[in-house]
Amino acid sequence: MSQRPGSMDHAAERLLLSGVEQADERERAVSMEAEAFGMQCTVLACWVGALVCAVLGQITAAAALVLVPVIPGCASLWYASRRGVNSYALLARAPLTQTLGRSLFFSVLLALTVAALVYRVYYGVPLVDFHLHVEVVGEDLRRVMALLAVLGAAVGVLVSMLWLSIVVWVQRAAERRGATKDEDDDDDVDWHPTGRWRTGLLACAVVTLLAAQVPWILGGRDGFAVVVALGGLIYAAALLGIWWAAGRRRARGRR
Amino acid sequence: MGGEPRQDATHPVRALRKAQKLTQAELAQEVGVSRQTVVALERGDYAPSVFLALRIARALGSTVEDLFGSQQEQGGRE
Repeated sequence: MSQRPGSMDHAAERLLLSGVEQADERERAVSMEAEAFGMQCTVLACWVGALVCAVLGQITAAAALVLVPVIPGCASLWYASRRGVNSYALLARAPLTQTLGRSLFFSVLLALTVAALVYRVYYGVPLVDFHLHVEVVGEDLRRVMALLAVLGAAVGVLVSMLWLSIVVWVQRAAERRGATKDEDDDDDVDWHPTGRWRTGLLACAVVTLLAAQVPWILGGRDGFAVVVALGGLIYAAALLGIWWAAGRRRARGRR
Repeated sequence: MGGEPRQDATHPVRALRKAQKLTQAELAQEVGVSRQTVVALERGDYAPSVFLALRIARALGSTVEDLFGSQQEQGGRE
């Protein structure tokens, strides 16, 4: 470290290590890599989302999505510099084509976003005119929807707490079994999802897909029904992708 | 970690551990890591830090050079 750790460093360390205090060095390294990978995916998703919002004429959302990735970028630069690592020097050491290619990709993405925003401001209309019009008719229906939203959020909190408790319980039981094992097991270095996990994923995908089509099937052909149906389709496709990938990984692990 | 070429020959850690009739779980507990880390290490997928290497060497009554010297020659991940 380049200087004595202060309260900011301790706070950063606490934020960084939440959840991996009990990990050993390999688990910690993999966990940090996973976090970095997740962060990169988030940055990419934000900038692609900004382009989509800009094309649809959503100026505030596009600006917010462009600016949000600045926070993790600045935070990582600050953290590295506090520990005596110059991120720019690392960038300079990487192959030039790789660095330039990466910069070019993000610059083009940003330029397209700015161009779409400029078009929206200059001509007053977005490149793609898309209106999401949701109309709730009647005070009673509005009250019921508000109540359902509140109840849904409360149930969601309970379900997520229950899910987390089950995950912790299952993992602790697995670790206890592993610690008392009398024989070697070379195949459990990777996480192989069990059949039950995969069945749960498949069930979630099917339920989401079907539930998302309900407004559309019940006669709604407006933007809301289409967005819900498409969103459900994309979410279900993502879950099916994870289910399929988990199956392949499991099969590889058994070989 | 992942993606590294695996060693065909038995890893010295595995050979010595087996010779001392220790299980992966027992060795892991002794050096303070998870059993999965011992598995990864014996498969040649993970090159430990110098501190962990020292702890393993001490637990198995050997030296870091004997246990991980060949890994360095093969260009294992640091």
